[in-house]
Amino acid sequence: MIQVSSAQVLMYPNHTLTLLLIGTYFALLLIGMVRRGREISGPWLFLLRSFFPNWRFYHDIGYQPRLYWRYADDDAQWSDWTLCMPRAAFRPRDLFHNADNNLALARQNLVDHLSADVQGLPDDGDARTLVTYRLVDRLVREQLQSRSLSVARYQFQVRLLPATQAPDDAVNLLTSPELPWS
Amino acid sequence: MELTTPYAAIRWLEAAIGVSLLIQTFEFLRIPQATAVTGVWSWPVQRADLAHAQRWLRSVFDVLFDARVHHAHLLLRVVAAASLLLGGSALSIGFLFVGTVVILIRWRGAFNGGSDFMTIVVLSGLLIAHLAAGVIEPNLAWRAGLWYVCIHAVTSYFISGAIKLCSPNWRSGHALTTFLDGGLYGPLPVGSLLRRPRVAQLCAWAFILWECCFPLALVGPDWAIMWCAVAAIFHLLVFRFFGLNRFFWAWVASFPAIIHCAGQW
Repeated sequence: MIQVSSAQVLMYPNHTLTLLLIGTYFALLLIGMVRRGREISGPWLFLLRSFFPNWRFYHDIGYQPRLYWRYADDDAQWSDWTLCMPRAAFRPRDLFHNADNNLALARQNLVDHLSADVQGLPDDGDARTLVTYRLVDRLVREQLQSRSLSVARYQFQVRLLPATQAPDDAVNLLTSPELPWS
Repeated sequence: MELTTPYAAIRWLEAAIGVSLLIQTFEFLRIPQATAVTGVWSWPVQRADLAHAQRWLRSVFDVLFDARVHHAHLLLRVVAAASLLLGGSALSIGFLFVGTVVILIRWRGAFNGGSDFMTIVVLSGLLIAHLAAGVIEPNLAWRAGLWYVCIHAVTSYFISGAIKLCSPNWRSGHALTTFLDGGLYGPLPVGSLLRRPRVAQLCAWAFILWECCFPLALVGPDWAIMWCAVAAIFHLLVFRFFGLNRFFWAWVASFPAIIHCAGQW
């Protein structure tokens, strides 16, 4: 770290004070990390959460929420479950304009939020009342529509996939009812 | 790169966030279908998020999120962001700040996570600088804005590194491979060097140590330039594997503040 002699302390008291304040700030941050208090939540805090630092980018691996959908045609034949996950081919020019891929990542964020909302529901709660449920329902319809499929009914699931075990160990968090297309 | 005076640093900060906002806004203009009434983020559905708000406030958002009004807002935003390349004012910064908040509410609080946070931080710093410059000595006001951005940026790297340091999965390198497999441009090829445990562990520790040592960037301008150069490479790698282009531009926008503040000893 920065060495400050006693002569310098006397000559530059403001610098020493600034150093002390910065040092105290980072020490308090470390203490705050170790002793985490209760989390504050609320609808406005959620909508304005970009004002509050979230330093936990990719902080640890755990269960990852993934969206699956399937559909039935007019003969009531159900397809296999299809995973909806953002994937793309790398293009250097995306550094300057990456609208479609950022939108794909926003779709996955929506699934993450639905997962969090469902886990926060009371025991007698109904997921269908959640805004995130309705938005994910629209997302599934968008996915089906983009494939020009002949859909009579559809259904979706949110599964929690373990990062370190086989995908077979996935936890089924939510299964929608079989929903009519029209 | 002249960053020794607060005024010059503020100008660089404005130009950098101007570029970042232009890129963000052109991306929003490209995806109107997502927020259309028939889109996934349909406002008539999403407005239930504001069920707790007063009726007048919901009416304001109904107007703001009308497709035509939202489109006009984005076009105005392009003009305001481009004007930052020539120099900002309290009016243009204020408009961009409020507009950013409105857009984030449209996307249920965040569109691109951390890059939204850093955009808010830089705009807040500029807003502090411009508003305070009308009340106190301008040099002091600009320095306050620059330090606000600098402390937030340095803290972001430091805490992010410290959290990884506390995680056994990061220390072993296992988390790095797992996240890269789940990235937008993933999974890693079977023969990728990063699949070798030793290489993954080495890379993970390099990131952890660099992030944890980020406060050292404040030792002096040369140190700050070095740390910011590594940060730029780090964000390019994040873009390469996760497609997070906005992170690159949003964080680069904070570098003039870090380099300027590091020269204030």
